[in-house]
Amino acid sequence: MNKAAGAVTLETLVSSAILFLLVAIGGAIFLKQSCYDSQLFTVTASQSGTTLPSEGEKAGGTGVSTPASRISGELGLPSYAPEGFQPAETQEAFGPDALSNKIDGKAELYLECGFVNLTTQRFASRKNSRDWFEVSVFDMGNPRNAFAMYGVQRRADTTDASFADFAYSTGNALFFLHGKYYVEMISSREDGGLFGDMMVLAKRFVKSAPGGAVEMKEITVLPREKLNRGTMKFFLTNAFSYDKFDHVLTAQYSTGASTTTVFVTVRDSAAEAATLADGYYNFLMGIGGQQLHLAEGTIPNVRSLDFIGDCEVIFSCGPVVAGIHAGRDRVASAGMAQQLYNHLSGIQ
Amino acid sequence: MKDSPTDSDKKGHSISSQPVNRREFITRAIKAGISVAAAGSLAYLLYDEKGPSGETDSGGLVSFKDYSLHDAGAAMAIVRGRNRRETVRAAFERLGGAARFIRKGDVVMLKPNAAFATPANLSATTHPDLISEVISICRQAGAAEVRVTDNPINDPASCFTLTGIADAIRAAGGRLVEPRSNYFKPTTLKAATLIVNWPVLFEPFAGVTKLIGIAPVKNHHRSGASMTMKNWYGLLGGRRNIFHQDINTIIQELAMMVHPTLVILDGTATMVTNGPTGGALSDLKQTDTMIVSTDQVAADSYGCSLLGRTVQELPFISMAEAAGAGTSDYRKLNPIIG
Repeated sequence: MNKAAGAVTLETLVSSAILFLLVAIGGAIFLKQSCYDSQLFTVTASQSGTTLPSEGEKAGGTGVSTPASRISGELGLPSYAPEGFQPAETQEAFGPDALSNKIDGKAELYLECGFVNLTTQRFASRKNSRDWFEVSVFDMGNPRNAFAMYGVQRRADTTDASFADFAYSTGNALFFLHGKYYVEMISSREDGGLFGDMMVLAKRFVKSAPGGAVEMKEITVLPREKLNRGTMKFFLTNAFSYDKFDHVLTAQYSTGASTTTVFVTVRDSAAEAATLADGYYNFLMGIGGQQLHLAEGTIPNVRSLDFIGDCEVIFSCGPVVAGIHAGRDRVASAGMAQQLYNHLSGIQ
Repeated sequence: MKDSPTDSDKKGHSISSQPVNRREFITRAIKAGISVAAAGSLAYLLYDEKGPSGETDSGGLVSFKDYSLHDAGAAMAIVRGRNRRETVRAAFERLGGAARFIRKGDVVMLKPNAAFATPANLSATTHPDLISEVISICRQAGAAEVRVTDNPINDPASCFTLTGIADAIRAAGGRLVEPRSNYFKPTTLKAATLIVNWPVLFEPFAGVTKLIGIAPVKNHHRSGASMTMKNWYGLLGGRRNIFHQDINTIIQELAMMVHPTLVILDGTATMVTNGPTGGALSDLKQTDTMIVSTDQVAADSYGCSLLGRTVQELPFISMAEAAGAGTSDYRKLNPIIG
């Protein structure tokens, strides 16, 4: 009997332990479920009416932005720190899927220009932690994409800087191009107090980081005289809303008291350029352009038209399609078109 | 009749040495059969042949309460000036004082735009001076507690610190509630197409009696503008950036999801280009305007003018109006301008 009673007691203990374990597991599951990962939630096709998120977007994480994307980037930005400054946090990197975690709605702009990767690093003064600046290096894949991005983000009322081919500053920030990199440096002070320190880092980056001067055939065909270099913009696609107009460079020239916008795009052959020029002219005429007769001088096969009150001039010269875009002053536009043609025909 | 002991009993393997008679055996067998049948039936009833979908049972959904004050009536004040502390205080005074909206003992939640870890002077985020002053105004009106929360785009700790918002909250006696994963609960908005079973920053609102949204006026690459309605985007969790594909609808639904007591639209320095992050002081235009309104649609409609845009150019405004979130004709509120 004692042996039997002992067996029953043992069975009771084992059963109780198992039941306790089951209750504990149940409780743990309940607690874990109450802290679910909100990143598991994503829209369905019926919700968005558009594209489903990619598998990468569906992947784990949390609903709260975290420094999880911090990695040791290959650029090694901390090593460029100016004297008196130190990296404030770990270098961060963002790929195309994560770019919006850094710049939210502006990510589309960069993605459209071929964005590959963003590396950021904040530097803080050793003397005063309120004095800091953040460096954002956008790897755009190639110099042409980077130049396009630089043009899209170009601010008005800026001061050109000479340490790189394309660089400018505003009261609180420094922006420049280096090979495939478009770089933004933004400081916590608006009085320019950190400008010298940012410049030190920028020069070190240009000297050491892979890359080099921006060399583009579209830039080389532009006349240098009266060119405002800071106004150059490069459209990778869909320039002036014409879907066949890709890789188009625009720049403003000083023409008397006003400025005139020139455009150029370099094609594979003269025949392709002529066809594209015709196509663009027909496109403008098809959406309300009115034929115009300007005194364009000696430009062969030139087309001019009035488009919503502005003057458009289009011609081709060898493999280059060129012209004037949205000219306000018709005389100045005609003169600039002639100057542009003379330059292009001289370098063919 | 007694059954003979089995071999196993003899070897001492049984748990009881007492013999079992036929009646008892049948009784036990029936009980065991009933137990097995009950367990099997229960398992059958609970069996989900589709398996877990990853979505939350609608029974667990939450929704924000309506924080608007219907008895206070529609009101709007527009005050000109460069000093945010002065203009926001003046706006409250022109509306009859903060006591019109904040009562003694209220627990007030402020929802700023703390999206980015950028300096306050870039106006990509709500200015700390403004948050500090609104906390003071609420406390002077008798609020028992003033909380501040947001789910920023960048790392929350960096955003609240580098924007100066965390220091401003501490100095003014408010309470910063940084987001955590378990603060998010799923919600479904009635008649919504995007906010369906979606996690929102809900837990910090426990016990809150008044809600004030505070946002700067900004250009936005996708929506054209980011103002008070877009500011509620900071209450969303999950992979919310997917909503940028249908930005106007998500702003409309956010305006339907949140019914604030007040919104404050800061147009002191308007980000007119390169939004929503900006980055250069040249992205800003000094517009020296502070708007306090009970109607978020009306506030954003006025904000359009600071960006040099019209209501027609920003579809989310008319969509929010059509959904009943407010009026796009701010003049209907007889705004007090000063």
